[in-house]
Amino acid sequence: MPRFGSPPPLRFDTPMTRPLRLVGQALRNWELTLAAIALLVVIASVSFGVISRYVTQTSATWAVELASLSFTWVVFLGAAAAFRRNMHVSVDLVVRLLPRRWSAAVAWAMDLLLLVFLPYALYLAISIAIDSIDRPSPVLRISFLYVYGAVVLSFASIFVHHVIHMARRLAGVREQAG
Amino acid sequence: MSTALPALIMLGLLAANMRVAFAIAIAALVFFLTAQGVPLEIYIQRMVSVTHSFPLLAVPFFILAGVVMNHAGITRRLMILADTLVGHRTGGLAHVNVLLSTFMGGMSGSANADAAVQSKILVPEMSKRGYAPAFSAAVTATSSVIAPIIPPGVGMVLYGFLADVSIGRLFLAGLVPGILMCVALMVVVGIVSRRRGYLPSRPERAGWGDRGRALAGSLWALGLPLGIIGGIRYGVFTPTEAGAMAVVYAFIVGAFIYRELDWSKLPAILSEAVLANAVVMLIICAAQAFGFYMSWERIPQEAGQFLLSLTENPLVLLLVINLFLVFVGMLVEGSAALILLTPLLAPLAASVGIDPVHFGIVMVVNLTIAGVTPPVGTLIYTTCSIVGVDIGRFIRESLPLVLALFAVLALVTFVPMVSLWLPNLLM
Repeated sequence: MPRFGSPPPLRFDTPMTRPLRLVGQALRNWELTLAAIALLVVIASVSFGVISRYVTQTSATWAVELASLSFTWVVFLGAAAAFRRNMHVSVDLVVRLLPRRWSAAVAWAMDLLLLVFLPYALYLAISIAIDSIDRPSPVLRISFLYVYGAVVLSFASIFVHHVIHMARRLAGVREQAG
Repeated sequence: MSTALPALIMLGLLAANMRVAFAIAIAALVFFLTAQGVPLEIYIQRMVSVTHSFPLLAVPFFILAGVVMNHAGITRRLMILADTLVGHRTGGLAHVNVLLSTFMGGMSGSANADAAVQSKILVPEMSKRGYAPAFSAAVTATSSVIAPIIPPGVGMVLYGFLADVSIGRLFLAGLVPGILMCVALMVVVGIVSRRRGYLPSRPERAGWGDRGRALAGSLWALGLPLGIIGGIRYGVFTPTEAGAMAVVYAFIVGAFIYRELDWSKLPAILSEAVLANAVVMLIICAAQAFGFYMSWERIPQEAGQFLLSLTENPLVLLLVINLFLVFVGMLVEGSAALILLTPLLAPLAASVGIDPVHFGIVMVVNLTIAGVTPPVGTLIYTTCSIVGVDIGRFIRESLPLVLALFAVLALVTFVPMVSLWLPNLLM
């Protein structure tokens, strides 16, 4: 809900502004956008690899490498996008059997555990990313910074959205109590 | 440190409703933090290195090819073909539902996508013609189990990668079991439909002219699995390359031949594939870090020795493993269980002389059926939430259908030739 005194929301529904709105959507869902672009790169380079093998009789090793490097982006940014949409699978069978108070306690414990794990995993990813700046990939000589960078961005996004999710839950609990 | 600690932590977190990928990742981290002489950098490295595996690129490709096909109007054409073939039988649309899943299996690598599409397009039609919604949902969910067994299938790619088995042979080995599942489900559908008086969807058997026209309309779709298998068999391309070719092919057929694809659908198509792929792949990444712990502590060997001390008879072992997998599949999502248990069970099966391709089909079939075994089954949730039926009713209606699938599983388990005949013949 817009707060009192805030300007009315801008409407982006005219045909003129439609591209703008799409760009806005793509930016807000930046993880998904980047992952989708990376997926296109993967498809293009693997296809190019097949075709060039039959045309030039040599296999394009750089295409295979580009596909592999991009796939890291597809997986890790895709995982962050899936986290935002709460799509990662879990086993809720045992928790559903517990009394409500207990299951709520378990849910909070798991949220807190993630709150500790995610920044630590992020720290590990950042340190390995920094350590691998000077490590180039075998064929294309792309720094591995750009590989582990995907993991850093992914874990950072997941951490931020986990904090937002917890804050929302906390607010919801307060509202119920009040 | 106790050897079993990370494994126990993982089981505890899974039970506490932690997302599967994070439950595995946290348990693995505990190992890396407490083990002597294991550098911590390997933790992230292991997770990332699996995304550089060329065979696993086939996973998003076969997911994407299925999504593109669905958006390209291929599903509707296959439905018309299925209707001309079996629509005249009692319970026509229910038969169409089963046959459509089998056809779709040739393009779609995942059961969930198949279940979602058919719940949206076929179940409303079935309800209009007087089928009980719970029965329609049950037929949709159980028949979508066929889709990933018919090549190509994501489960085969995962098993092939984890157990180091030829993905091409696995693809071929799935064909006969997939067709048997189709037949078994049709038998049950026929019995139930006769008892309830569900009507045929067309007044009389379609003539061969109609059938021929419907076949011509969907030939582009049905040709794809043949092209994939042929291409892999004759070394034209690897399974991963076949996946990329399948995606390009699906785009071309959808955009230029069926003319139902345009650029505006691209973001939705890519998003669907990216998300479905990431959910599976993140579990693989975490499992790869966890796998370091398992091999460091020699857990597959220890577990294997324990099981072998109970029995060395391959048939008994297959039975025990199947029962175990059915139990696990009731509680855990199928592909997560496949990722976790393949490194543990595949070497064990090989050590008593079970063919790795045969064992792979047994595991993949078993853990795909897991999608429809209550209480935890992805396919149950997908269909029930789209169709809007009560899960209790769904389970009652699905029971005979699930039993039919288990009958096929038993056949596949104890008659290796069912799966091995085709790959032995062709590869």
